[in-house]
Amino acid sequence: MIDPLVLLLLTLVIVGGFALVGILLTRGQVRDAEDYITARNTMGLHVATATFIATVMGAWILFSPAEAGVFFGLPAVIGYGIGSAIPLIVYAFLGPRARRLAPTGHSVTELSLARFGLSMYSVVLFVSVFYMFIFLAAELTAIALTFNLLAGIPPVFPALVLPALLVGLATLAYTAYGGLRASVVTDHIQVLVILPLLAVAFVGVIVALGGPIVLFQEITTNAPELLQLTSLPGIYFAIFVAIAITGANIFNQAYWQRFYASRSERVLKRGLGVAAFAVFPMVALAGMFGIMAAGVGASEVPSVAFFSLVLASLPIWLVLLIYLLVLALIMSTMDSLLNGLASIFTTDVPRLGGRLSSRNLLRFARVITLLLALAAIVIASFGFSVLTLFLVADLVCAAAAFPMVYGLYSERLGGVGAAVASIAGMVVGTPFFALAQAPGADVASLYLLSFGLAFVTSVALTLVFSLGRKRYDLGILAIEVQELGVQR
Amino acid sequence: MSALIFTAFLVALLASVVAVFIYVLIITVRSLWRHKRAAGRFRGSPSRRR
Repeated sequence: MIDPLVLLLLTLVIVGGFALVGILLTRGQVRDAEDYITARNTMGLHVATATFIATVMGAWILFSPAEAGVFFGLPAVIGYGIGSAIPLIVYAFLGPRARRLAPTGHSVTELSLARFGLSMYSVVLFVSVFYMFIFLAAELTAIALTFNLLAGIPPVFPALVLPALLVGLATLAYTAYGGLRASVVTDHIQVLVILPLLAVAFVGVIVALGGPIVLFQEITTNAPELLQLTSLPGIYFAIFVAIAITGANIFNQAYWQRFYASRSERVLKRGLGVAAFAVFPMVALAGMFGIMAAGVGASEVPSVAFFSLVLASLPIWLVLLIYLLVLALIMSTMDSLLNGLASIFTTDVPRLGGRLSSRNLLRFARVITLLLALAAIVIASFGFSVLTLFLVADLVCAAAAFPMVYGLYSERLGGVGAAVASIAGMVVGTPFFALAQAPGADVASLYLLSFGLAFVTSVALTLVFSLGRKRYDLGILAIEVQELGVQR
Repeated sequence: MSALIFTAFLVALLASVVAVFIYVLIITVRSLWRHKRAAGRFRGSPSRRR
């Protein structure tokens, strides 16, 4: 255990440092709301690559893949890695498409309003905001729980406030000040911290546990099923998680902002390609902590298997370095989510009839960022289990993803058809999702059924609704979607 | 699965993460170097001196 005061001081120094860098490096660069949420055509290849990696990697990689490893073994860990890379590969095609269709675009909700009208826009708005806000609250909850775990404090209400508040306010400080530019700049530094520290934690744990051969023997003795590549529950989990992550990321506004912030289509594609290549080993490596924890009997609480292993095997100075990794992971995702959510509201205000000057729109964006951060801090302070809510968000995203994407390629899909296909997918997937919550349920099979049916139903109905004669001219999107302050 | 394949898998994962880190580091340093050179040229350009 680490002295809570030392840990608090360390938190203050690290998050303060990131906030200072974010503010100093973006000083005087944000003049209006357009700068704040888009930073159009400003990111070169190195920045794009780093920011895409940082946006995918949240603190979740230290919790969920390891938990999947404990329960479902190697196939689930590999599936988690592939599933995390798929959205980036999808985006390598979708991003340039979005840029060509609407060169002055900002957000997925804005595109859905222009492409489909109010019906599908309502679905996309709900799904995006719900998913991103749950993600935000989950990241802050993760830091509060990690802090308490390392300091040996029971994870209850008052003790969770301070770490969540510190990290939340520091991220808010540079995100509210520098907008997307600050998020991107700090992403770059955070990735250069995250990658080596993840490698150091991995090597440190393996060496501390006696090396790979000893670990292999421990796993084959205590949990041999976890190393079987043909384990059916593991394969089911891998497919379900790939659908869930891909669907959810389609509605993560942080990516759509970065499509437009990239300097060119080539930069966007290469940045996403490298990030996809980077994400697979990072997630799979994090998942291996779960299998190793199960092998050496350190997985009593599977969701914190990573930390159990780290605390049991590493010296204190290395544990503190791992804490820096956690903070960098959380801040890199949280700033992207905060600015992404703010951009949805900021883009939609003028489009839905609100008349604000450019300056007031920037002020509005900053106030929205503040309110969202405060709401997330309050939720995180209670330490709720956000996992189920996260999965609900993933399910609704999995059902709405295909209609949204297909509408950017097909001229025959109407707004009502897209909305009906999305909602039908959600309705079909829900009963199996509810069954999976029962104690002793076959979780992997039921989640696969739930997410698989939600996705397949929405795909089938989308294709059926695209058989009509009515056509929508996709060329109109470039005219309908304009820069902020140039509304039609 | 044998111990050898398990070890190779762990090494491959680690090597990939390290490779990505080196790649990001190299493109970052190259970009910063280019920026620095461009800024230097700008400072020393005749139009600036005038």
